[in-house]
Amino acid sequence: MTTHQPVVHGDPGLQPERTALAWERTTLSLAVICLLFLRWTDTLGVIAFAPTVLALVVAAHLRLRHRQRARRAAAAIASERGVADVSSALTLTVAVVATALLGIAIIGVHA
Amino acid sequence: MSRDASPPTRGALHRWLLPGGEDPDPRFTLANERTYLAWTRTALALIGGGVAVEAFTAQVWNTAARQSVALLLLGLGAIVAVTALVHWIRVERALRDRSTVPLPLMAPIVTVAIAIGAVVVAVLIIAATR
Repeated sequence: MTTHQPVVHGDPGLQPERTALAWERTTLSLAVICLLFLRWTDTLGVIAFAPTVLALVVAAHLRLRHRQRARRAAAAIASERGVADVSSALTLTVAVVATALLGIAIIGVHA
Repeated sequence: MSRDASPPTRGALHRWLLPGGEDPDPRFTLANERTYLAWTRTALALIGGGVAVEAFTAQVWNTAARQSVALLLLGLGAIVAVTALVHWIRVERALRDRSTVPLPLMAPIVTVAIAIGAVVVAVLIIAATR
């Protein structure tokens, strides 16, 4: 499974697809919000790029795990056993909270 | 056509956070995951709003108004993000134990907070344009 063939699943309700798209929407939102931090390049200089780089790395990491999650979902449907993807969810929540804290830190810098 | 029938394995993190019970219907697990992602996008919308207020309202609002609205949005966003993960774990545990799925406690709080926030921002916009 190293080729770029689509991962086949056996769910006519298309739950693996809908879940994959939900991940796409969420990581895309995270990436867009991080680009907003570039607004402060004139006052903060290179530091303004830090949240962008951090969050884009996380978004890229989650995007790269896309196929792994697709295979996982297909295997779960085929075996009728749902095993939650704990590490992806933890990674995402840490990144989202870090983004909020960086925003708060920047308000502190401007105060 | 490679339909892998072997079930996904449980890692150490999974066994630690989701001990006991048995693997539920995968459709429930995926639905729970999408609900978690929807809550996370709600958090991201609040965080994006907070960053946007701090970034783009300097010419319209005074510093105190701008910073309090931004802080409230970012703080609420961080809380919703953490609550989304906690709720996801609680639901997944309930699914594994075949017990009743817990209600999302953040739903009414977020609704009230967003309603109050919208009124405050509307007042600030009207005050700034006079």
